[in-house]
Amino acid sequence: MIKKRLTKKAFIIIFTCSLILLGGCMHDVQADDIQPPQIEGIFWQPDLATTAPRGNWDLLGVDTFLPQWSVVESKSWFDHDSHFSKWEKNINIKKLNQEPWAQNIILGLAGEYNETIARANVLELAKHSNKIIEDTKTIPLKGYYFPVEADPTWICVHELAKAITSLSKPVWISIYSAEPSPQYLDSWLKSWLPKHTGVFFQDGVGVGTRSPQQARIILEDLQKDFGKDQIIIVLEAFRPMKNGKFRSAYPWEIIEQLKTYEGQKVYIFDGPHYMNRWTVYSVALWYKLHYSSHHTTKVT
Amino acid sequence: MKKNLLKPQILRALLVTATLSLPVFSSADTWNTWTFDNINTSNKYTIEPHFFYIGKGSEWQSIQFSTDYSTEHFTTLLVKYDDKLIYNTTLNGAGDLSFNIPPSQSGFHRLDFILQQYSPPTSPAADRTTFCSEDVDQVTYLTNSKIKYLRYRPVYKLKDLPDALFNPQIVRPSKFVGVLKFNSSQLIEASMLGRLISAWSAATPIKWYEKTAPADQPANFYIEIVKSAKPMPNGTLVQISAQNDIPTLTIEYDHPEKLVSAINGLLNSDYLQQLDTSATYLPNKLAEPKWAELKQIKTLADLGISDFRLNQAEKNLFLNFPAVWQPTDILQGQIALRVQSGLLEGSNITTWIDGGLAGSLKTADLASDPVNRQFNYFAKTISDSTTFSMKLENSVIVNSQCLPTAKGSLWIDTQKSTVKLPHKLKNGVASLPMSFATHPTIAIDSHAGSLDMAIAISQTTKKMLMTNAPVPLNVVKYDQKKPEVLNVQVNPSIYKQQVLMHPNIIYAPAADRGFLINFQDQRFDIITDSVEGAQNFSKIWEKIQQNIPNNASKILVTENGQVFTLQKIIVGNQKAPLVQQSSFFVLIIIISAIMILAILLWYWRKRPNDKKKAN
Repeated sequence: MIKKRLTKKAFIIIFTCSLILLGGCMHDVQADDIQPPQIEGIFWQPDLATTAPRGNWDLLGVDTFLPQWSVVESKSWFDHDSHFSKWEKNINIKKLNQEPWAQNIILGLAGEYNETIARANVLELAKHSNKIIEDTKTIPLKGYYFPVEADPTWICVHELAKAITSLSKPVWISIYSAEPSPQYLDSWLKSWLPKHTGVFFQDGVGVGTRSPQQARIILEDLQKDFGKDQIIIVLEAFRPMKNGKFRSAYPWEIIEQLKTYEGQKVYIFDGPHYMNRWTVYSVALWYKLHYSSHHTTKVT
Repeated sequence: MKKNLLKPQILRALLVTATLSLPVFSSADTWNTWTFDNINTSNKYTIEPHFFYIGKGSEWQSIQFSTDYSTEHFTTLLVKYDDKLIYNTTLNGAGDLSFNIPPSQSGFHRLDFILQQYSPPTSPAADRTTFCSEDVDQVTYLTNSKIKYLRYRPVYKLKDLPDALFNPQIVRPSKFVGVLKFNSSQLIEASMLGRLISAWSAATPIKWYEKTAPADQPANFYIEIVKSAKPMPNGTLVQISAQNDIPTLTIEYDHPEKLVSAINGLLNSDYLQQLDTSATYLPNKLAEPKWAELKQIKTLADLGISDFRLNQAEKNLFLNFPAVWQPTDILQGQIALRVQSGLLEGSNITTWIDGGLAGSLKTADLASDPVNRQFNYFAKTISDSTTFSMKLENSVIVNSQCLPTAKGSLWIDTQKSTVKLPHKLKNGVASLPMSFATHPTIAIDSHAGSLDMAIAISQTTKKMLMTNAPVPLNVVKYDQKKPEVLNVQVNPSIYKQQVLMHPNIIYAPAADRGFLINFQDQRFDIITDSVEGAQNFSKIWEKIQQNIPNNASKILVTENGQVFTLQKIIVGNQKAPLVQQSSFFVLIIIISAIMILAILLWYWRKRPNDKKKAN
């Protein structure tokens, strides 16, 4: 009997210590007037290894799935009838839609794996994208994403503006900056961005450019000029390694980013590669514990 | 059927051969003007030379010199032309004068103006009996001096290039207008034009236009490259002629390699000298000429200063070091000179740099040997600019009578006079010429004006950093996928977007017809909005080199040459990204801590059990 009680006691002590340690890593300080971050969507950079995508991101509140491209190198990742040939593995949009984390889909249009090639062929990609829009007319989608990323070093960014304008539907695009605190990002964006275009701002934390706090300042500056609905932050859920590759971010690293983006809509990049089930469980547990006392009103 | 033995091809070949064997005769006479610097003197006795140059293969006729003069009292003027007295007069008051110069052949010619001022009887200077060169109390000015002449070139010959197209030494009020005719889709033609032009220098700048000259600026000469639709088995046809009195160099080729070979021939001065004809076929495998290299700047001669005699006066020199240099220490060096012996007390030479005394040498009581002497000089401060003004002051006292023979007793040897400016190379946009000098490839877009800009970059770099040989310019098509180190674009959309990025610095309408240079990832993008912007670049680029700040990564230059720094490279120790990079190590520590705790708990639980057992 005593032995049993002692085993139980030991387990409770170990569990408590672990929680304390975990809590320490989380820097879990609560405040009453906090609006939690709203993790609305998850990106997916399609490749053969992660097709078809699987995950439990709905535990984080995700209901929007954003496959970055539907066509890369003129080959389609989706199995519906289209103007393009298909990759060896394909996914069905309607099936995808049944996943709890993909109730809404923002469909990535035509892109290239190589950014230089994508930028050089941006007008051509816009033509392909218009075909994709035509092919998916009957599929209910939340929106479209034009996957040619822009940053202030792109001299010919006006061609992206031309490409976006030529598309038959309004789209989302994504931007980044290699400078930790870019001075002219807002005026740069104003100088070319067509109206009614949504912008995902990549936080740059994953590539090691800046801290989440710096990313938040830039995001708020952009939102002052373009509105909160038009600029959404993308949480980079990866970290650089010494060999130049990337690893998944640890739960406490993602938690730090999420805490900094409180009150903001957040999209995570990307789910299938960097947000495995255990990371999701850990972050979801923290989220529940941390924001349980708050009204989880949706960020608008 | 009767055979036609004289086939059309043979007939054509014979006709061409016959035509090529005849030189192109020209009877074109053109009125031209050469302007000279003003002469102003307050010395009793002055000799001022003027030089002019008649291009190879050309003659000048009906040459007339004219000038405005102004003098306080009687001044006698003698003019010698190539050491022969051709004119003399006495000047008093103000007026103009003119005289004829005999018809002259090609080469340099010299006009010596010898002025002798006589003081009025009431002046104290009137009592002086010597020809000392000290100041007198009256002055004489000769202004607006020029010669007008009829240029006559009986035959246009290839060996006379580039003089057959323009006079490279002429100083005239308006710039030359050169028109380049080529197929913009064949960038090898643009490259070859660039190489050809880089071998030619001109005292009067040349404004280059593609295809045609503007209506208000008639062309002075044309250079045309034409690709032949038919094979040219004899090689590349090069010919020079005058069309409507405008000299035209035409190069017709069938294969790019052959064009390169022909240009090599035209760039090789030894080979060119042999082309005593108006037109010829150049063979297909002519060797490359010796290309321009980075020049060393170690002496005054390297800065383009020739040896000079120092009168009883001062000499002002401008030492222009490359604008891509950032001085890191003071300018220093040594002035090497030859000076006569036996000068009296008080004779010395001093040098001043940027208004500060930099060095001096006593020239009194020197022995006759050694002849060569030198003294060191040092600037007083480290300059931020690479342009220095150097003044040399000489006072020579030979004897108490101060004879005119005292002149010319001091001679500065610029080959032996050293200059040393410790420096590092500038970074950012300012380093563009250095990048071009080491890798002379420029990518241009297909819009008119971009080749002019590429040529301006080449010419400016050559003047600043390179030796006096042709530049192996390589013009390629701008490709977004594979940009070059230097990229030139005439694109209003890009320019406008880039200008709008900086509303806090630039008032957008003021940026029209300007240009923008962006330095990013060791790559330069030079962008303008129009052909006028490209022309402004060609006009301004050389002049603004000194005004481009070090470490500027993006600049905008307005059409009137104002430079705005839009972005700077952050120099110094940049803060590392503030991202907390948790590592696997942290995870191991946590797991280890939990395990230690578990062991401790297990031990704590085990001890009472052991006690129990012992009891």
